Amino acid sequence: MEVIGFAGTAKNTGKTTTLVEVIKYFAEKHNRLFITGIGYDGEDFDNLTGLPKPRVFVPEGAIVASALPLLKASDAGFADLKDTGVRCALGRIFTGTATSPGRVVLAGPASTRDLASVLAFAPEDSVVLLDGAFSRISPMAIADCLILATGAARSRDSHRIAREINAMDRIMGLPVIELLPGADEGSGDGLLQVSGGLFLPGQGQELAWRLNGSVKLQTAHVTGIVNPEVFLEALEEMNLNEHREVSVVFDHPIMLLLSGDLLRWEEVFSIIPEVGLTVGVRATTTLLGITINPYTPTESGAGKYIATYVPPETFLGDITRLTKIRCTDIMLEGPGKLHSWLERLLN
Amino acid sequence: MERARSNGITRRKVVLAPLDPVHDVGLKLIRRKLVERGHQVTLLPPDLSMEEIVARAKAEDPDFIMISRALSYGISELLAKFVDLCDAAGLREKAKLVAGGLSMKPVIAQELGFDAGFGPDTPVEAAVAYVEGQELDRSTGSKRREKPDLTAGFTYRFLDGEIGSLCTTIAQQLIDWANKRTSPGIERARLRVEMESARDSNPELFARLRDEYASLTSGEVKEWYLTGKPVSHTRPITEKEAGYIRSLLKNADELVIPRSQDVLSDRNVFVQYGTGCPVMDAYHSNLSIAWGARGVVHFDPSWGARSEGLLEQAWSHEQDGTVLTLDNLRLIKDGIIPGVLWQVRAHRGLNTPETVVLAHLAGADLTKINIVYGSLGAGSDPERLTVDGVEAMKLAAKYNLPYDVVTNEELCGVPAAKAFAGMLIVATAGVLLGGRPLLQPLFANSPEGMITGYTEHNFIDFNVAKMKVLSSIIDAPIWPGAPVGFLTQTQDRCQSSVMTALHAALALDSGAMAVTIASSDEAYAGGPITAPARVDTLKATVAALRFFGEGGIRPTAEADRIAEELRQGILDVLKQVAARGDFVASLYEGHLGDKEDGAYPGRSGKGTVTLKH
Repeated sequence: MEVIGFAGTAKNTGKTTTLVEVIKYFAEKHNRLFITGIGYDGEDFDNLTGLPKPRVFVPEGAIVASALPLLKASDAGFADLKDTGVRCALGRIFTGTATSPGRVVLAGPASTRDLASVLAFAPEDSVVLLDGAFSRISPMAIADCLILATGAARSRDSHRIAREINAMDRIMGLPVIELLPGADEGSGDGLLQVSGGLFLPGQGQELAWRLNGSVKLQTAHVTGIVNPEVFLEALEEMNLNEHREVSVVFDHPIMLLLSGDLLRWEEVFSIIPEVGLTVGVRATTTLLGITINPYTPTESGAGKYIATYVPPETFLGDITRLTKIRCTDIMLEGPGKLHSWLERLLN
Repeated sequence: MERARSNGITRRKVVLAPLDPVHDVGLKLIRRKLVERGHQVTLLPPDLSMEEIVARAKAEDPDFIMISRALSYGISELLAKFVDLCDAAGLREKAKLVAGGLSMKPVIAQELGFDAGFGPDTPVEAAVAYVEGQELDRSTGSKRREKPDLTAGFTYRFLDGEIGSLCTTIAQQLIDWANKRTSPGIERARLRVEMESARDSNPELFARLRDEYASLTSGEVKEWYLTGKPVSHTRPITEKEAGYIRSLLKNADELVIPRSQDVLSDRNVFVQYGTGCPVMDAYHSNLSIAWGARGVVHFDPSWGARSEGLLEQAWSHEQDGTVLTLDNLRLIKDGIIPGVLWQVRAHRGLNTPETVVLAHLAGADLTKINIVYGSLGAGSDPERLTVDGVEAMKLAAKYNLPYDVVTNEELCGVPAAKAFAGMLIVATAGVLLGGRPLLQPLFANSPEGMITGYTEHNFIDFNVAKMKVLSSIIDAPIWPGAPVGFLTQTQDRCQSSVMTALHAALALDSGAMAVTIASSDEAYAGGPITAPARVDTLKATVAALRFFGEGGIRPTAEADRIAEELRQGILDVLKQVAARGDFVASLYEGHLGDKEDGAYPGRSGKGTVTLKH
């Protein structure tokens, strides 16, 4: 079972468009699909802007996990309905196998815990497609790999987008550092366990004091959310010359993406090599590539939105030039690059 | 988990977090209710960052985290971030996340990643019920509806002996007169019963009965029976369209009906429909029911009342009302959410008895019959409609169908005293025939109100006077309409909604058992009757009922004076009709409304009544 997540840096960055192309790709390859989402997707019109949205079509045989009323309302018939035992804001989530191709609205599990429960219903030989929502990314830690959507809805400034992509690429590429057996049981034998994350002012100083006070320290394992500003606070307080051999291990790169200004990680990554500190993660998700969307809804009067676009070629060109990771605008370039990422994954 | 103090409810830990200073009123209300029920509640200050809220919540280890924030495009990303933080911090291992505030809807809550979302239409009790473990759709949705009997508990005893005696004398006379006569309308009603009984079991008999039926029809209806040529402005409903209706109830169990609108159902607020198209009728009905309506009223086209005979099959009509056929009625009924009261009108035309038959066969709960209005305000010959009306009332009694007796002749200019005298006579006849009529006074700014000055200073006194006088005469249910607010509404949808809502509130405050309202764009519909206008009207009515509550509406002393005038007027009319000794003659001669008033005896069906052999 391969779990592919579709996350975005903001609403309207093109997650659904990417998902729809990926569904088509796997349907043509006759892969068994299990499709769900952590939000609400596939509706005719966006609930906030009122603008039209891409619709989600599933092939015959695909298993879909969504709120039961939405499965029932789908024009794809669903058989073999199973109650996952998970409830979302729109009702109980069921899985069903599409008896014919058709349109579906996805409303799946919102939390990591509930997502894990729902994914237990996915067959071992299936490819799981996990649709995101807004800029939510926390449950995507479950995914094996991730396609990230960003674009003008996040920022019309292509240079800022490129910087963010580079920061995310750097975070997602942090090395996996295995902790010794028994590491979860607490501090000791060169290991410092720091629970509760680093996301409030003061937590950085506390971490630094604990590190500074530890002798023969090899690894600091920080569980929970990490804010770059708070981590910088720790770095400023640490007696760095004494910790050159120390590794700081976070749970997952996604924990570093949830709090604070993403661009502050640039500063963190510029300091770390100077001090020789090693930063890694216990587990990771592979970033397959980034889709770029020039579309952004623009408010034109109270509560009314119109669809606007930044120049697609320039936008994509700037971002591609300023980043190293694979990027594509599906609407501009077609799905070829996206397909190549998936082929690499399957191989 | 602890049990709450003494009420047996599992005690929950709840963290309430307003995300800005001006949006914590809802949370404070919820806090009060939760604390009253023994839950442990922490209300956080409104100036915390998302991260600080997460940290405080972690310290509390709650079962529920409820946040409140008015929603906008930009704010939605912040809420999504909050959801992510809670998830990554491990709070969702135990806690449910709930979002509330203006613009919040379940679908937006779902997209944002909350476990539930409560909008401004959600009562505080729903949030409390959710905390206490009730399923979300049950806590936000309406309770399952049972059909009430609007006539239950009424004795139909006259409280005004003088008027009661006159009504009984006149009603008995008209029943005796009608019992000796018949009409093509009565014959067709009989044939329709036999046809529907034979339709599937005995095709030959059905064909013979249908030929006989066709021989009793007229005009374009007859042409359709003979040649199949559609009646003007009609076309058959396609199988695809019928499918739309049938699919409406596919997910009826999943519908979440705003509980805040339940007051309309509790107070028996009806909505009339009649777009001409059964598909739209079913959609409009369900829309109205979803927004609280207790019942819906089928509104048929006026041309159908002037033609002998009713069509078969399902038809759409491009103008004025929905064609009365058994297929149309059954289609609509198949699409309407169960538990709603459904009225099919049969009050005014040449097909009155047969319409009662169709209403019964299609499963209607109520019908509508009035000889006087149909004769003086809707174009049917008085003699014919008296015969047909009595038969219709007999059928309604046989089928156990209550019916309202409407007085819309007031709209022609007939004074309320005359219209009420006619209504009381017909209702008395209905009771004598074993039926359960409901009185339906017009609640409007009627021509009489304008001319006499009854409505010069307010719209309250005249309408309240009507309620006072009727309830002082007889112990019968009163159901103003139909619909309320005529001649007070304009093309302005807001103004029309307000007028409709105030009239409905006034009717219910004055002791009405039910009330019928129309969509705000219906009074002056220059085009389609729209769904938003329906919702506007229903929401406005809820707002008016909420506004007045138990506070009541206070009429001036004029109401009592008008009521007394009305009683005297009713009495005078009844004496005149009784003295004449011939109800039908009184209709022709204007005792219940004359040309000066604006009432003209109708001519449709004239000369078609025959003595029974």
